Amino acid sequence: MNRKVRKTVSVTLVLLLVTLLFAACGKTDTGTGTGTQPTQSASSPTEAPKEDSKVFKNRVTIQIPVYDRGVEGLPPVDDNYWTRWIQKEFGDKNNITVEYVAIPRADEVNKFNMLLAAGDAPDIIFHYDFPAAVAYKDAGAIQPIDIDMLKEYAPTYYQKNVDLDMLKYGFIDNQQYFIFASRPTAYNWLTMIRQDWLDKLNMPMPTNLDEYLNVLRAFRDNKLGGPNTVPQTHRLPYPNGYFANAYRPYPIPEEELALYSDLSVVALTWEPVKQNIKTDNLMYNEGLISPNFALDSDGSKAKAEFVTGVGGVYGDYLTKEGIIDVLLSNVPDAKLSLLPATAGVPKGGVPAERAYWPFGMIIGFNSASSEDEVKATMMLLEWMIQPENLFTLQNGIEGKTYKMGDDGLPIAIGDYKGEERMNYNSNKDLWCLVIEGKDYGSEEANLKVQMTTFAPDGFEYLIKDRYEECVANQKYWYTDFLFDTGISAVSEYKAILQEKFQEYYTQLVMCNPSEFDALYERLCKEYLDAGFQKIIDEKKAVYERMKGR
Amino acid sequence: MSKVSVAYETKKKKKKLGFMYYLRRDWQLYLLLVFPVTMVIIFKYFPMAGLVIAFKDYKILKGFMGSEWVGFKNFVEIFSNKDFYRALRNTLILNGLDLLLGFPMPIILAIMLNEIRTMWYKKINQTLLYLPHFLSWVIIAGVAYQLFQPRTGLVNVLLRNMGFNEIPFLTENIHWVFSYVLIGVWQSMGWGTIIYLAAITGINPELYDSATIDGAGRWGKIRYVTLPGIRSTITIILIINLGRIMGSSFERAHSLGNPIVKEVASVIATYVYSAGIQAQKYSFTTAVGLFQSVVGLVLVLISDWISKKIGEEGLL
Amino acid sequence: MFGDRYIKTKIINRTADIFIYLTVGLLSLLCVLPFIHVLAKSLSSDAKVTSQLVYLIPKDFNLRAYRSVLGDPSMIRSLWHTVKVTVIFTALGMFLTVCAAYPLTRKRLRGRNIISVLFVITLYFSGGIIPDYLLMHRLGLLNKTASLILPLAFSAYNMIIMRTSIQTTVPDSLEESAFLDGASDIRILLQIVLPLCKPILATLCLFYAVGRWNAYQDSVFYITRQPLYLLQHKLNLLIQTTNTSLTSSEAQPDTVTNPEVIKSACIIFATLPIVIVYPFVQKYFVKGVMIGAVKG
Repeated sequence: MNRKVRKTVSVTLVLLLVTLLFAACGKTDTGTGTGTQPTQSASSPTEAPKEDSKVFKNRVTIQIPVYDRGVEGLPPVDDNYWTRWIQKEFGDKNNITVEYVAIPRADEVNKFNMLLAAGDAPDIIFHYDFPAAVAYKDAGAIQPIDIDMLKEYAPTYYQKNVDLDMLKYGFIDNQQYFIFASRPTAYNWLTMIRQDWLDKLNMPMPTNLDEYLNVLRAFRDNKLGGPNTVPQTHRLPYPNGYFANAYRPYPIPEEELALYSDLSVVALTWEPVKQNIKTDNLMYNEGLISPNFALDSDGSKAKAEFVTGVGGVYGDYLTKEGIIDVLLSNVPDAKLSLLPATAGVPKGGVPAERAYWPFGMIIGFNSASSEDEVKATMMLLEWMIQPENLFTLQNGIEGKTYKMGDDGLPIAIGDYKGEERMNYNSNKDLWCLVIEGKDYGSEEANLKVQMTTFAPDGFEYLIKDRYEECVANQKYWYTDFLFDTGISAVSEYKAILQEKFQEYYTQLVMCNPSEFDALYERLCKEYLDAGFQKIIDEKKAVYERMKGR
Repeated sequence: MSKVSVAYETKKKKKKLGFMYYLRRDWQLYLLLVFPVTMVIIFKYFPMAGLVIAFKDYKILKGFMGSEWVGFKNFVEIFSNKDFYRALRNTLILNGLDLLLGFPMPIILAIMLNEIRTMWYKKINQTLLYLPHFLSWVIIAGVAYQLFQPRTGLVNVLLRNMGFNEIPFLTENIHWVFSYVLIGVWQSMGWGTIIYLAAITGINPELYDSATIDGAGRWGKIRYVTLPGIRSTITIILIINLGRIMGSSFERAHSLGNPIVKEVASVIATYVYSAGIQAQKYSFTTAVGLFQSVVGLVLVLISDWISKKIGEEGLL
Repeated sequence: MFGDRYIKTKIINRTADIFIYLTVGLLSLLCVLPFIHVLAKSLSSDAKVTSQLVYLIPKDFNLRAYRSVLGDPSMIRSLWHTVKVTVIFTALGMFLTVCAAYPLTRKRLRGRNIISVLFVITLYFSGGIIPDYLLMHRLGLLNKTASLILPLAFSAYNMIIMRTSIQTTVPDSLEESAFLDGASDIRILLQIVLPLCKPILATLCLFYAVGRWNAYQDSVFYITRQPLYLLQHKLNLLIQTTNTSLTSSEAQPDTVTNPEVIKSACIIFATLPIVIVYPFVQKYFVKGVMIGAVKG
């Protein structure tokens, strides 16, 4: 019995040891890092600190979030040549350690919230989505910004915000909570039409909705794309404020703009929206749009229809590869033109579009960050916005990742695989803190680069046409109404209302035209009950307060 | 000493003696249990303290303790919401059908596989049958739509060419429900056979011998040896699945669903995703989860009680 | 007369056989077709895949996608890392499962019911993602491989299956006689019970391994250092690239998307290891492994 007891005890002790080993294994496993570690030790910087009194006496560590999009084949987003370059050129010279925190792009809110709950969030809290950013502020995660501190530690960045009149967007409840990265306008969102089909039918480019519908009917009747011709490819519309642009009154009364025009939630109960959906219903029942549009939430079906030559009209962000080149491989004789925005405009309307916000990334400072950390972060923004630093970050190393073109504009070298290779989309997730795209100083220069970046060879005119159209229509574009405080109902209900909009839109478009009005009444009521009424009520209250009533 | 206190003293002594006795006799068993129990307490029960936010108005930065207590307010909000009832109804219907049609499939398949005597054929089929288990629902849904969508779906094209009418597999409510269930059966039936096959191999071969001697044919052997032999396994898995009837797979419903059939495709998981997670209402999300868990546990307890009545070991 | 019945049975058996073989074969075919589809996509050109023209046969056959995936060191590293994690996870999981299942089969154990309930509750109740994350944070396990192994290692589901299996496979009489002979509990477990349970042990190993291989949600939230990402985590990021929030002010994010072809190749790449492992585990199911220790 004694011997057996001892044996059992020893076996148990071994087992316990093994389990502990597993746990210990975890603790000492700091992961197999790739590449060299940045020079983050407490050693003094390689250069003597500048005369500038802004260099910190004691080492400051800042944590900056960076999106992780899971693009295959690239180095880790939080530790690669460029993050180390930033540390070397900025951090070491100012006695600051810059740490990057990877945030999964597809689940960022949850990730930020977890970090906040654990007290571990980075010094910058950002989002592209305005209601989401306001939600962070309402949760208490964002500290107010001291404008004087911003002017001192990031003067250029501050000035850019002033020049583009962006600060007002971040001024909520009487304090400045957010600052913004600027956003040069991109002209690659466009609608294309098969010019060769128009030519075959001897029809001119449509300039208003009636003409456009006739063109589509001709496409349908002549089956120019084969037996399954789809005159206009259609997908589930993005449930956001871009909907029903062409049906809005012009000029639009301010109160309607404030209550019904919202980037995140479609105003189903608004008359312009009703008219737009009614037109779509007509088009569906006449067989002018993709019959399976409701199954196409990501647009891949619409794209497939277009690139196989079955679809006559297609709208999307144009890219150099993946759309036109595939179309040409299936239909070598295809010719394309820009479909003017006026083609979607009903009688009496104007080609209104929502003016892009002048800003891209919305940036706030973590309320748990110390003053030094905020200062250091501001210094990073200031450093990054300097033209020479930004240029290097956006283009890389001459001769390796880009070469200079004849016109003084850099041309990217696509498949450089050396150590200095750029991260996703030319390091975008690193410099998105200061700017949303590439800016070459002048409108012509920007347009030129966009033409070669977004369009395949021979189709650059599409971008140019779109640019000219934007310039011509600019006067009809509208900007969102700016509330001086966050609308909490929007953050709370937008997800469910977006889902409901897609559900109701589908029903309304696919129903019999005779049933439309009754169905519309019923669904509007449901929509209001699901939270839209609350949004309108809250907005109305704030609007009236702002107007001093 | 009064009689009562004497009795009390004796009882106490007996209990004390009893406990130590068992500990000494079975100490090895208790020792073995220490490991899993510790793991479970640390990794499952500690976080369960977080369930308390179902009764609070959780604010991330206030933490669990700092957030305000609101009692059953979250639950009231949930149960007064029309969309929740729709999601609840759909969840029960879909899971119920899953159980009805999907539960027997792996059992039948396992028995059929067991009957196959050609070894290589059996092996190959087994390997192929469980492949769907490894595909994510996003991919399965993509393939399903390519096959079954109206007009351009392969199957519908075939039907049209053969002169039949198209079938709205995924675009009409009732059709969608059955497609959802059948695709689910397809995805899990192969993998489900594994447990039953393992159970079948655990049956004493001598029982088959005696059955042959008694004159039982193939079907007789299945009926009187195989099925009873795996009865315990079937019962246990049934009980566990009954407890899951309130749950739902987000990916499956989200990927297979589309706005046309939203009326039947909205399940608790997708509802919570829009109304709770994306709206950053964690209290709401936790409250719904708590509701699901409680119902699940109650169902488990009931079915466990029933199974004990019919002579099985049960879950607990 | 005896001969007639014999022939009749033979015919019935034959028909049953044909029916069974056919049905099983058909079902297997149904199961493998989507895989062939993904395989075909992975071997086709981008253009044909975007046009949604690929069904079961690759169009414009090429191996570019595989060269890309296999040539990416981070994918291979992730594969080995995931294999390592899966193996440790399975070993730990099996150990914990056996430690829990066996004692709970012994009716004489006091507190058996309470402990059972303790385990079963974990099947249905959980704190949620935030409490789980906070626990990892407090234990200092964030960004450590242990966070992918320890929390999920014990599966109450598997434990219940193991327990049921022991109860049906190992007769009480066997255990009782050994116990009365003076054998210790652990000895009985190791020398009598486990050898009899080989099929179920193999099954549970498979369940643990596949469960760990397929799951990645914990990797998404606990791990930010890319070298430690699990393979399915990396894969899932790829598949999700297209749909980001369209109400944001982010200018279109893609001048480069992950083509469908690469996604398909990654799916095949991530599933292949398990498909290869299974046949080895299978041999334990084919024959009953019962030591003829019990007579009557």
